[in-house]
Amino acid sequence: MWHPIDQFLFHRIVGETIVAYAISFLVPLIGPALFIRFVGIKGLRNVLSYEARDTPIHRLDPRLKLLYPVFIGVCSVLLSWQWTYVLFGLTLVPWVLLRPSMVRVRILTVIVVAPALLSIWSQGLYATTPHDKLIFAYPVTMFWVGTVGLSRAGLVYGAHQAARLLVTSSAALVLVFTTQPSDVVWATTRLLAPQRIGLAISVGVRFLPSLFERLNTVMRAAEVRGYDFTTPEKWWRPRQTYGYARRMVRALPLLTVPVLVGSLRGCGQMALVADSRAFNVHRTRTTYRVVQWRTEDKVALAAAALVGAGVAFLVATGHGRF
Amino acid sequence: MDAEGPPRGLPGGARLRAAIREVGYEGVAAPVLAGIDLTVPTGELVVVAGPSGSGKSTLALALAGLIPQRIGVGHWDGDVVWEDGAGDVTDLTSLPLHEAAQRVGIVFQNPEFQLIQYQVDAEVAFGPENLALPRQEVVARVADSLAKVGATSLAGSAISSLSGGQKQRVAIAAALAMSPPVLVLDEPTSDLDPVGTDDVLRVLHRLCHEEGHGVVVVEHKLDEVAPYADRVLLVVDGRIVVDDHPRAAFVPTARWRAAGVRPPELVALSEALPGTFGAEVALCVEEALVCLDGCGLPGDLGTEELDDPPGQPRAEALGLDRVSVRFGGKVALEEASVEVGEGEWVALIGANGSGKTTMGATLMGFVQPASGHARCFGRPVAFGKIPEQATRLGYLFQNVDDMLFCESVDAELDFTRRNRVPTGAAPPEPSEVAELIGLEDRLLAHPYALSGGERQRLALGALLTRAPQGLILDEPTTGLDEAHAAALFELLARVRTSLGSLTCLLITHDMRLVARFADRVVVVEGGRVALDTTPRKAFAQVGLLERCGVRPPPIAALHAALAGGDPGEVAISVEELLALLGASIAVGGAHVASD
Repeated sequence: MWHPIDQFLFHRIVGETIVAYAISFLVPLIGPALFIRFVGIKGLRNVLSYEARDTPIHRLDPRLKLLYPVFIGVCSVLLSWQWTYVLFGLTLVPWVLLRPSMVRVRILTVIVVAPALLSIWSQGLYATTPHDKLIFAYPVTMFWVGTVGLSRAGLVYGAHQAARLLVTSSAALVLVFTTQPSDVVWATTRLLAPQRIGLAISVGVRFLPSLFERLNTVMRAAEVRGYDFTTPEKWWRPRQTYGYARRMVRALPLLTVPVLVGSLRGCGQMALVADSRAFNVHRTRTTYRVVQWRTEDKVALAAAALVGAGVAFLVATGHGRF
Repeated sequence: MDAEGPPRGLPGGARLRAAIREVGYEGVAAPVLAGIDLTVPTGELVVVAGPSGSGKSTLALALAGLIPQRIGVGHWDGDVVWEDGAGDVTDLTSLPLHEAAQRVGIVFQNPEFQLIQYQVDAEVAFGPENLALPRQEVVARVADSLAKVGATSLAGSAISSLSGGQKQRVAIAAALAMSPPVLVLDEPTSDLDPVGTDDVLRVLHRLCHEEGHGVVVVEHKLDEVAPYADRVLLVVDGRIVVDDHPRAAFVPTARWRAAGVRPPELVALSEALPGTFGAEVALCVEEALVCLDGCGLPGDLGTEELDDPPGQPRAEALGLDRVSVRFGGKVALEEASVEVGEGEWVALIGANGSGKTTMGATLMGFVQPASGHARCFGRPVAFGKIPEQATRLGYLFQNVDDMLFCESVDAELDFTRRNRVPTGAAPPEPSEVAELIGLEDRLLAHPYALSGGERQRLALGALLTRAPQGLILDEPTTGLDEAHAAALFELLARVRTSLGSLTCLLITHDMRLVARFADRVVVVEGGRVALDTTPRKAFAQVGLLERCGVRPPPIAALHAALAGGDPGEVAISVEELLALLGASIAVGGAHVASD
C-alpha cells in the first residue's frame, strides 16, 4: 500500500511533473548556491592566484608542476573509473603536504566538487538509452526537456566523467596555487612553447590579479552609486538568492564596460613596449633565469615514475583499463 | 643642481636632433607640431612643458622614432636623427622599433601598461633576452640597469607588489636595459605621490649627470622638476616658444600663465621681488633662502597676521575611534582616531601606505576594523553595507573611470533615479547637477569621449545626485594637468558654496588642494595620526612632515626656513608670503617692497 504522498509524487502525473521539475531545475542550482555561499563574486580573485608558502611542493621545479596535470590527465584517461578514484586519492597527497589556508580549501571544494556533482546529474539525465533501468521516469508533460528520466546507468557514467574531472582539477590547482606566475611563464617557454604563447601567458598571469582587483574596485564603485552586491545572509531562502542572482546578471554590462575599457586601453601601449624591446625579433632568445635541480624534484620524479609504472601494470594486465 | 662636467661613458658630441617642419593628424586642420628644431645632447636633462593639447606628447613620440611608422599621423614632414659623435648619423624614423629603442628609449605615463612580466628582474631582462645577447651580458645589463635606478633590492619582487614610484623606476630600468644613450619620458610622474615623484626625478638627474644619458621629460609638475632641469622648453600650439636654462626660461612668468601653465612658485616669488633676488631666479628653497637671507630680514615675519580664526564647535559627521585595521599580518591603522565635524573639510595627508586610504575605506565600510569603531552621521559604520552607507556618504575613487558605467553623461546623472537607488534627503535633479559640474552642453556625449578632467567632474556629479551629506575624495587631482585641476578646484568651490553643509574628507598629496580647501589637516604616519591642525600650522612643522613623507608647498617650506625653528604658522601662497615679506622688509629697513 503506497503512502498518499508517495502515491501523489510518483503515481500521479501532477506529482511526477513536480518531481521532474525539481530534478531538472533545482539540482543544477546546487552549483550556483555553493558558489554564492562559499565563494561569492568578491571571492573570485582568490580562485586562480598563487598562495605564498614554504613547502616542498612550492619548491619543486616549475617544469615538473606544469607537466604534473598533463601526466595525471593522461593516467586518468587510461584507467577505469574505480582506479581513477584511487588516482584522485593520490592527487590529494600534495594538498596534504602544502596545507592550504581555509579560504583556499573552501574555494577548492566548491570549484572541484560542484562541477563533479553537476556532471553526475547531467549524465544521469541525458546519458540514457531506452534499455536502461530508470530510477525515475519523466511523465509525458516533461517531453520537452529531451530525456526519458534519471537512469542508474547514466549516473554511473557521470561518476566516470566526474572522476576524471576531479583528478584533473586537483592536479591543475596544485600548479596554480603553488607556482609563481613568473615560474609558469618560465617553465612554459623552457618546454619549447613558441615565444608568442610565452608572452601571452606572461601577460595573462601578470594582469589576472589586477583584473580581479579592478573588478572588485568597480563593484565597490557601483555600490557607492547605490547598486547592491551584498551576498544574501539567508542564502537558502529562494527569494533572497534569486534577488541576488538577478542583481548580478543585471550588473554584468555595468561592470564589464569599465573593466574591459581599462584593460583594452593599455594594449596598444603594451604592444609598442614589447616591440621596442625586440620581442620576437630572433628565433631564439637567451634565458636569464636558471633553476637548480633539488632533492624534492628527484623525489617527485620518482613518485611520478612509480605512479606511471603502476598505471602501466594495471593497463597491461587488463585490471585497470578504461 | 646644474650640469657637472661632461657626460661619462658616451662619446662627446653624441646627440639627438629633431627638425620637424610639420606634423598633423588626419581631419585636424591645424598642425599638431610645426617648426620644431631641437637638439638634445647626452648629459642634459630637458624638460618639456605646455598646456594640454599643445603637442608635448606628440613631440615625445616623434623624438623616440615612433612617428610616423608606428603611430600613424595624417601628415609628417620632418627628420629625427641620432648622431653618435663619431660621424655616424642614423635616421630614427626609418629604423625598426627595437633598433630605434637602442638609441632612444621611451617611458610612458602609466607604468602599469609598460611592465609585461610578473617579476622585476624578468621585466628588465626581457629586452636583452630578446636580443639574444650572451647570458652574462643579460645578467650584467639587468644588474646595471637596476643599479642605475636604485632598484637593485627589488630584483626578486613581484611587480604587482610595487608602489607607483617603484614601478616607474622599473619601467625606466627596462628601457635602459636596451642601452639607449637618450631617454624620453612622457609625464612619468603624473600618477605618483611626492615621494615617488622625487625618486624618479632624482634617478633622471643621476642618469644625466653621472651616467651621461640625455633625458627629455614631458612634465607638468614644474615646482618639482625645475631644480633638476638643465633646459626648459615651453610648447604652445605645436611650437617651441621658450627654450632656455630654467633660470631664464620661466621669466617672465606672465608668458607661462598666458599659455595656461603655472610657473614654479619660487620663480614667481623671485620675479615679484626683483630688488631682493636681483638677476637670480630661485628654483629651490635653499636658493631662495640665500637671496632672502642677504636682505637682513628679521626672523619674525609677522605670522600673527595669518592666524586662522578659531574653529566653531561642530557636531560630529565622521569619526574613527581608536580604530585598528590589519591586512594579513600587516598593520594598516593602529588605534587611529579622527573626527570630522559637520560641514568641515578635512585633508588626510601622508606618505603612500601610511593609512590614509584605509581611513577613508573604513569610514565607507570597505574594510572591517580589527578593533575600534567608525561612525558616520551618528550611526556606526557597518562593514560591507556599502549601498546603505552610500545614502549618507559619497566616495570618489582615484581612478574615476571605474565609476562610470553608462552610455552618456545624461544616463550617468540619471543612474540614481533610473535604478531607484536610495538617496539622501531632497536629491537634486540631474539637470541641476549637470549645470553645477559644467557639463550641461555635453549631456549626450559618451563618458569615455570626455577629457580626464571632465570625467572627474562627471563622477563627482554622479555622486551628488544621491544627495550625500558627506564626500570622501581620494586623490581627486592625481593625473590632472593644470587646466583640469583648476576646473576641478572651481567645481569644488561651487559645491562648497551651493551645498554649505556638505562635509568633505580629502585624501591627497596635492598641497594646492589642501591649501585652498582644507579647514584642518590630519597627517598620518604608519597608521597613526601624527598631527591634526590647521594647514598653516601643519605646513610650519617641516621636520615632522618630512618624517611623515609629506612635502609642504615650496612657499610654506621657504617661510618655515626663513622664520627658523618653529614659526607657528606659515604662508601657503605666494601672495601671502609677499604680503608678509613686504611688511617685514619695511620693518627691517631693506630696500625692496612686495609687488
